[in-house]
Amino acid sequence: MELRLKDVSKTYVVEGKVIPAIEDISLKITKRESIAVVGPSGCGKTTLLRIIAGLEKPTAGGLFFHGKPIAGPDPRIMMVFQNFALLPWKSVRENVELALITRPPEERRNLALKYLAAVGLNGFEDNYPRDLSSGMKQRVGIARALCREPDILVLDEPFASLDPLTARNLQNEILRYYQNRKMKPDVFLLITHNVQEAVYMADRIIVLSQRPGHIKADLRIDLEKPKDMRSRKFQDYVDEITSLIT
Amino acid sequence: MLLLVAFFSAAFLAMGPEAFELIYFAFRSFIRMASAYALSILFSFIFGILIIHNKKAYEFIFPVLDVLQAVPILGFFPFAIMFFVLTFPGGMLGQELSSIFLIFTSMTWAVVFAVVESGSSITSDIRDLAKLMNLNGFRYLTHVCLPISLPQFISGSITGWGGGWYFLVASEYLALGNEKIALPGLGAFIARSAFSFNLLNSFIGIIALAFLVFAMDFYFWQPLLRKARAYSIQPVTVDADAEAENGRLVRLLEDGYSSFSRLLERFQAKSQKILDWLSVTPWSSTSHEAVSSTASYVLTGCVALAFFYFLLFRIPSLAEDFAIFSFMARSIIRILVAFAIALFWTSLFALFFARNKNVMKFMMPVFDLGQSIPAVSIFPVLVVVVIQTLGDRIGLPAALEIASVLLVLTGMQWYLLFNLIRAVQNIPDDIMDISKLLHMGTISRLRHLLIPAIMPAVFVGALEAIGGGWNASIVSEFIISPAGTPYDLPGLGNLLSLSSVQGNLDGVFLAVSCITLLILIPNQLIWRPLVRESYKYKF
Repeated sequence: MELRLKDVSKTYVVEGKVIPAIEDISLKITKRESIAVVGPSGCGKTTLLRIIAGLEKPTAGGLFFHGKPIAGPDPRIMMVFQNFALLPWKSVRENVELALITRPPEERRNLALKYLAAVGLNGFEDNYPRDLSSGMKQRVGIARALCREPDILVLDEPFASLDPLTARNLQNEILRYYQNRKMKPDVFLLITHNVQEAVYMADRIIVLSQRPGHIKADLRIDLEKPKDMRSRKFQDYVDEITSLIT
Repeated sequence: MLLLVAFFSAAFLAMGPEAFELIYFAFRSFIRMASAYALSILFSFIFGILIIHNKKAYEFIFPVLDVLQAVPILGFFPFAIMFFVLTFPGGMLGQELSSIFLIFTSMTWAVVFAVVESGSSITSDIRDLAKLMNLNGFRYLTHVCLPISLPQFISGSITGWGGGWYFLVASEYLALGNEKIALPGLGAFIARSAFSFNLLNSFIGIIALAFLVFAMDFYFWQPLLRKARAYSIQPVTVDADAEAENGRLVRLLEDGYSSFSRLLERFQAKSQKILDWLSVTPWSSTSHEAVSSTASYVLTGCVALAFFYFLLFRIPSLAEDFAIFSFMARSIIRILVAFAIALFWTSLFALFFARNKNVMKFMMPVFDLGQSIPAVSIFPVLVVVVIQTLGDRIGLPAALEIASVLLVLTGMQWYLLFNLIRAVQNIPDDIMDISKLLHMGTISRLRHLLIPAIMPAVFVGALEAIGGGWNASIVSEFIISPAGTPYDLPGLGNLLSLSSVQGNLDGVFLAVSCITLLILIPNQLIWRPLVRESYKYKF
């Protein structure tokens, strides 16, 4: 498992003006770990994530996955969307199967059912997204990403569209799932603007600066698991990172 | 069903065995409409999807379609004759094909522009998803592009069918000098009855048409609309009764669609190359709210050149004394008067009733039917009531003008009405709640809330309505008197119809280019900029 970003920069051209989004980001992920990227709004978090997912090309610098440059979406890197991105004309199972479209139908179906069960959605396979609560929709989004068994899972503000209670439940389930060391993904990379959420979910936190975003801090969260949000140490981490952002 | 039997027995009593012919006519007309619609579907998806994804198609094909939609149906007639009747001389086949082609030209624009509009539903999330899932080639079409277009496609199809029915008369019963189209069909039946002032028969014809329109609406469009609403990308609150199980028809179509996608799946590898080459990929979809302007100015210029060529070199007599300009002025005034009337009553109706479910439940089918009734079919009533009765009091010219404006209205008002109703219905509930919380009176509610909220729809509706009005002017300025000759009603539509009947091709081209110009120029200089400006006020 090795993902390297080398001096990655991205600029956008909006109405003739050049707007830098992120600048000289270098990053190395070499082992199984959970990472959160935090930063003030508009700092290029999402840009960074989209570059890693292969949805956008950096204007300068390079990305290497297992030593090879990434050019476009890679099946070993999957993504979970903030607003779920479910297709309303497909049932829950069909939405998940979409990620497996190149496999034979039988295998597609079995894998989809397996991962839907893993996110606690058995019995809802034939429902349509419109029948589901937003928490359940995000579970479908997660099942769709997991069923590809990716090495890296990137999550773009996955809890921002959920109510706090639903979000907390889902976070705990993801952590529980991730603790099973035999399961993919090896790395999950969470984008969030919620510092508490980042400290709770991740072992490593990357703090981006104001636009153009560059890495301001890359720190390790050293807390006993399961993490206790009310503990002194937890609060210290939250305060430290918050002061870095503001 | 019971009504149908009752109607049919009444028709049988009135017409005798001819009533059986009516069923046959209706069947023939329906087949024609369905064939034209099948063509429209093919045409619309090919060009619609190309325009959404391919920059060149957007720059070059889209403006051409935009100009073609402004060409009145009679403008296509000479080409239809030349192409189909002359390739298959003698037989029915040539006539049949030209009729289908003409129906296609009155049906397809609504569908193709609806498909183009659906490009805006391909949100960045959907685009990213398609890239991540590596959906390309036919897979991209069957899993993303086609389903996502369904809501717009269905409502565009309904408008298209309405247009098709409206011009059914013109498509089945036409003459260009010696070349005639007179096909067995409901439209031709209505036309013949109307032109021979057989009130009873034209009434029976309209009722038969109404049955077809209602049946299609009830058994076909309503279930599909409910289905399409569930496909919408924007979150919608689906009504409880809309959740009801899918009808047999919808399930049949769904099964058909999945076998269709399985069939296309076989060509996935090849299609990928071709569609990549055409740049129909998730990377390249963009939403186009407007036609690109450069190419459309150039095309408008070409139409203008054609107009001046025919005016100055082929029919210079019309340039003397500026006769053509007096025709223009008269037609424009008629259309503006009709537009004012249409805007007045449709906006009043929409503002006061569009959110009233009971009224709408009753009125919507009536309006759908109204949109589909061909203007020609109300000729006899109009001639008898307005021209002969009113004409005795206010004089024939004035009565003719009134009749003509009323006919233009039939081809114009529905576009405004449907757009306005939709706009009022789309005002979010919480905005309506604010007006209650603030104790707004009717006047201030209209001024601050409802009227600004419907402005975008007024402009879009105006754009469509004025186009429809010009198309209707062909019929409305060519009113046949009981003696079988047309009344003298100078105008562009009159010029077009007369030239067509006399087989005067130069006159046809002159009038067509002139009408096309008069649609295109205001579109580009007035309506489109207003529509763009008013997008700011969209909810």
